[in-house]
Amino acid sequence: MSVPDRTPPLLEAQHLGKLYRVGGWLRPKHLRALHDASFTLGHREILALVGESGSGKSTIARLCVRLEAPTSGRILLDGRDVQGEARGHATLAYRRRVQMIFQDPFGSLNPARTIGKHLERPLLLHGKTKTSADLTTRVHALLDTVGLVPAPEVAAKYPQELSGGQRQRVAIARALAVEPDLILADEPVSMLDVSIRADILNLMLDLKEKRGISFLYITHDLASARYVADRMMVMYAGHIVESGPSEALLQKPLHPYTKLLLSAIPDLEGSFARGLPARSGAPALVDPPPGCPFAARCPDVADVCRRETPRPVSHDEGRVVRCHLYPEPPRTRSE
Amino acid sequence: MGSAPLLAVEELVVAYQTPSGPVRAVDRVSFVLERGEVLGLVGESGSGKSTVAQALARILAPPAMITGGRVLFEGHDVLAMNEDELRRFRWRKMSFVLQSAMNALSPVLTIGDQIIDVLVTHERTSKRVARERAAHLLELVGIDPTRLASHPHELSGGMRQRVGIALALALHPPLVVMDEPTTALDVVVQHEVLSKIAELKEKLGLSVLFITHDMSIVSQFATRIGVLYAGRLVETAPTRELFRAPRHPYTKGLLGSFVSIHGPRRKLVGIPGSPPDLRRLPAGCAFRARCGEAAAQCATEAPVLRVIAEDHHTACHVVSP
Repeated sequence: MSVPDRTPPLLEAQHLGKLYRVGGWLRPKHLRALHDASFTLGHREILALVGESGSGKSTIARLCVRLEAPTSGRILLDGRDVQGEARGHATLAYRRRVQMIFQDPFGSLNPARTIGKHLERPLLLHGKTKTSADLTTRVHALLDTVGLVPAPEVAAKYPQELSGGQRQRVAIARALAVEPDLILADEPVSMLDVSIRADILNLMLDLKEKRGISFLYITHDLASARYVADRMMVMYAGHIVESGPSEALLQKPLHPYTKLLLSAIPDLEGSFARGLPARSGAPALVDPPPGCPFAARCPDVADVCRRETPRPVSHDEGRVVRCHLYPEPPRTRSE
Repeated sequence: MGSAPLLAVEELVVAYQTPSGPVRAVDRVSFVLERGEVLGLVGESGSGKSTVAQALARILAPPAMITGGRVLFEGHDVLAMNEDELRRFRWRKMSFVLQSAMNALSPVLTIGDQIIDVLVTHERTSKRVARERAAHLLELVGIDPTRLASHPHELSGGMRQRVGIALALALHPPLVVMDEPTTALDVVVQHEVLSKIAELKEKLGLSVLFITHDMSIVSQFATRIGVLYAGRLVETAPTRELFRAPRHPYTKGLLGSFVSIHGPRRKLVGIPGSPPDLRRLPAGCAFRARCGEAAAQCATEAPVLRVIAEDHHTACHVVSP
């Protein structure tokens, strides 16, 4: 056995869990938003987090940018636990590495401030520049990077003078201002018109290739995840049910939920007559019963599924599946 | 008169009255919807697609006004109807499922009471008969009739949306106008709602005007598709033909913007620029600034829809038959 590569991944989540207390004061209940979520995100990698509403994908994003603390588990950045560090100064240092862009490019910009001012703020706050001439140069360079040209003209504009796609570019430029290693993008194209989504997705690919920036791309849209992501994770009811390289996962989905999701996607070439392998239905998140969260809807359900929560099992090609159908990894010949 | 098409929209114009003059959100839009047909009306934000739906329902509120054209339902002009005629026409002849239909239900009444209310008011049936029909309507959209006793908050978004569809079908209208009926729903639920609509179309011979921003949704069950851009129809064709041989540069660009989970992974191109500001529409073709094929004529003359193949219309100077 060779010496394993000990360079830690850029971001690593270990057994993350998040419970929210809901309802009754005397008899509180707990909403399980996230359960035992572990994953790694490498340098120069785009990892997609795919799931429907309520699957816990935004909870992961909130934990990863430290808007909230996990109930259990930990998050490592370059192998160092970020939770142990004090708030305040440490948060600022963390934000310099990890940035976030949101779904709504209309709500995330201040209408009373020019685009230039939006970009100056993070540059000043994180001490990226000293002189005002340099500040202007840097703002223009950021706008150039995201394709908003001519930069001096765009810098003087207000958000409401820009289209949705242009605003989302401003949001990306703002995230780039601190030269982060990782950007969490929460549904960054879902509010944009179809014809301009391609530009934003291509920009993400470009930033990965040319600047080595990693992305955690959070989306409900498997097709766009396939387009940008090297690897993807599928979430259901707070569980990462399946993960692996994008193409392999989509070509041969293993988990019954992934299969359901794939067959439900409308597609220009698809036919509609085919039925779904399972019905819709919301999982119980509040004080959930034991077992697999998908058991109630699963076409392949067995007795064990209602008793025991399946554990993540590694398979070939870097794939991990959390399902009793695949209890053991297939044996590799060399061992 | 049986020869008139079910719905004929002729040169419809809807303008928003603004301080700087009227802005045309819908500009001379014409189309015909035959019985049993599902017409998909596709467009991005600002294309006027929802304004068309609101004009048909006659629920446009100022400053939006219908300033031209006719809407003929079985030959009768809907725009000329008075309030009384309109009340008898809506829901009975043409009903609506809007994007937020799932939030249009009253939170304090049960699902059953709301459906029964519609039936009793419009058809003067007895409560007992109305209850039976309400149960049947829920079954039709795939909801367990015991849910009649539920309040809206006890149902999921997808179920509430299906209740909206059940209400639209309550008085057996031959035509239902649906404006983004599945946009707020998760894909699995969306698939169920869409298959339900496709099934009802077959079972009841329903005609549907289906308005959406997402071509992939209508590709599955629309018989024809009309593409709107900046308030104008730029292309209409049978669905298969449109996907196989799109002719308008905008339609081609739109189809090229879709990522697919099937087939080889190809580079996404999208369409450069963004839709024009309707308040400052350029002379000539509204798509010219984003078009890779524009000619000199496109800067001066607005193209109109013309036939380029059998049953295939395009508003473009560059496309030749």
